[in-house]
Amino acid sequence: MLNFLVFMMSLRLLLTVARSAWTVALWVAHPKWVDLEQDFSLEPTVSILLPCFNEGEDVYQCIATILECDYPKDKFQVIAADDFSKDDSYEWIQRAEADFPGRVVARRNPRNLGKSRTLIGASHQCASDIIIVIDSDCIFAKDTIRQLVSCFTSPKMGIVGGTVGVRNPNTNMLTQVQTFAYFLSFNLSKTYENWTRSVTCVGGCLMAIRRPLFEQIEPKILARNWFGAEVTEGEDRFITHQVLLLGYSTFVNVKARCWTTVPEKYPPFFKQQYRWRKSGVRDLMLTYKLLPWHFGKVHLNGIYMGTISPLTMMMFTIMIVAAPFFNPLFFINPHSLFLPLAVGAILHLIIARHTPEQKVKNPLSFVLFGFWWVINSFYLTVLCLLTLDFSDWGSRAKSEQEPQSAAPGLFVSPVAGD
Amino acid sequence: MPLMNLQNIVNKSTITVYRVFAIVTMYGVLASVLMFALLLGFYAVSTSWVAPVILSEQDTEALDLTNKILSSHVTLDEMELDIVKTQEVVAEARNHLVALKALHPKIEAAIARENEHRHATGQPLVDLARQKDSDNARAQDMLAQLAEAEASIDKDLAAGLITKVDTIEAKTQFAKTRSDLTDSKIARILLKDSLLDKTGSTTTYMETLDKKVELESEITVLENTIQSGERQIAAEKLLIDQFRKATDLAAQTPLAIAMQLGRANLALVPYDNQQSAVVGAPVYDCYLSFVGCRQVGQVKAVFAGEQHAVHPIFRTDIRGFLVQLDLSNAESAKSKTLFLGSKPLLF
Repeated sequence: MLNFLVFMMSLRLLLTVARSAWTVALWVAHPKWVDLEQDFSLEPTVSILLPCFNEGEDVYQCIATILECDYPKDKFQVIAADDFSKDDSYEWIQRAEADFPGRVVARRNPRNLGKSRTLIGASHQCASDIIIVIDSDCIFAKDTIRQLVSCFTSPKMGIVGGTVGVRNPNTNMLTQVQTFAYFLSFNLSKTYENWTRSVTCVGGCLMAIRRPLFEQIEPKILARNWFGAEVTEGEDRFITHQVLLLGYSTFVNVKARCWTTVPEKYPPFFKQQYRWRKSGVRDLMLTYKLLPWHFGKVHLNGIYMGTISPLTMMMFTIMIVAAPFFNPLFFINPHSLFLPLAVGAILHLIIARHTPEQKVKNPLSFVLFGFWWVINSFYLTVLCLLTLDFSDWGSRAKSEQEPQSAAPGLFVSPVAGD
Repeated sequence: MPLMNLQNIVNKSTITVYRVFAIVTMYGVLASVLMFALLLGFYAVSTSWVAPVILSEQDTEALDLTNKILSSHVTLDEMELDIVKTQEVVAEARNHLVALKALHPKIEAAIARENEHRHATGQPLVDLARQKDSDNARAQDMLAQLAEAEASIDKDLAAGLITKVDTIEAKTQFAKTRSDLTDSKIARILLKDSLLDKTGSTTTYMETLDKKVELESEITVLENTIQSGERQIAAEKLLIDQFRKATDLAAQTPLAIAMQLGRANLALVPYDNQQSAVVGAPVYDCYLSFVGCRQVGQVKAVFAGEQHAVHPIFRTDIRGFLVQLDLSNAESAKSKTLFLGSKPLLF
């Protein structure tokens, strides 16, 4: 058992080091392999879908900043759909609709349906070439839309994503840690997948997809279930996966930027991480279920990223359970602390140089990332594996949220903007 | 439609089973995590736990100690034998020394007497030798005059002044005189030898002195032999004492107790918990690590020697000492931890 754990740990470490080394090599020696040839003359019509739940005033700011993008005003609109929020989110959406006439469509579900159905409902309101899905707590750079659509130079390009930064990097230690995590996830990890145009998860914070593709995938999104229990979270990863299975490319353009407000308190942070982890667990199961259909459609690197990489991470759960039996103080020994400290120091320098607005004032907070990683790898994974029959809005959900029906209908009654 | 219903039933059943499993597992995981945290917390603050250790005569360390004790005994026997042999050598040397020391004054006296005698006879002999030389010189002069006389005898015989008999008698007398002179010269040479004996350092005398030196040297050697023998005996006796002390100490160690009893129930007491380790302190064993405890014996002996071990829970290196346990329940010696003094949580 111990040998197996050591083997898995070594394997994971080896793969991570190899992947990181290759990423650095791509950056330094082959930047063109990572970059995509962009065509900034492309100006397809764009619909920006903004599913919203309990965001309050943030949703207005989100709409305002996306509308400020330097893209022909007549070629893009925002469809903001409220999933029956308990707060004043819908009022803010309506105010945006009033403040930006003709450019914002406001919608509201008659009851809480979950993000996937809200998104699909919103997509039914548009007829554009490209759909851009954004999160309602994000603000955007002025060239975000142009950076995204300029990547659709090839008809095989299915999805283009962007990087998500942190608006509140130094509010507290928790946001500092998340700043590191976001940078790692969007600016570093995606580079490796960009190389083969097979990004396995384009974040729902900023995702551009061809509308026909979205419509093609829509039935599958709606059909997602766990032994009859509807699955509503992780639609971004699912959509990306389905697009890859259809033989299209996926790419993250690091120059398309937006910034989100990360959770500042532990409960919403926990819910967010739980939702993301569960999405990863579901996707891993889906990958193995449909593995034969991946070959020939998805680049081998994408298959590797969808099968081996998350599996070795899952193995960490076993390792984390087993480690205390061999060394109960494993997670607080100096070696375990040194690695996050070292990684944090390096990341701090990189972030300060490349995204100075996200410079973290206390790089030592990365140690907390190490502890969170342990909790995330163990408890959240176990929790996800044991709650696959349950879905909600994660960090935005409130306790008084109405229970979902066992088989909810798709039909969303647009309250306004139809 | 029936197929759909069947699917729904299967799904609902699966979900139900999954949820039951999930709830049980989740609470199990939660309970495990909490228990683990509690366990770590308890052992971080507890000051009465000890880690039982069972020592057997068949343990490698015990066997090593047995070998060492046996080797020590053999060494002790050899050293005692050495002492006896050395004592015999010293005794023999003493006897010999006594005999030689008794001989030494006799040689001294003999040499003194001889020197005295030489002194007494040497000078007169020198004077006599001088006298003899003078006599011989005079005799030599007289012989020269006799040669002239002898020549005149022949002339007197030829002239018929004396008879032939007188001539023969005279010549005989001349020959006798020469012979006497020769004898006197020979005696003088012999006297020279005697003078050399009486007044110079002859080989005989030197041999006598050599014997004396040899005797004195032998006496010194014997004295040294006796001294070194006595030192060796003293050193070996000291070493034997030290060996005996070490052997006695070894006999009081936990390993030796294990060797004597065949098995010893011991426990390692970390220094942090040393105040609990007193002879007679009750020993408690718990059914669930530190919950549900009962007395299973008491501390029988406390050993001073430092021991190193691995913390039974934290797996870190710990330092402490051993205590011997008198257990009413031998199985308690196999527990991961025991507690001294009182129940850790009063139940």
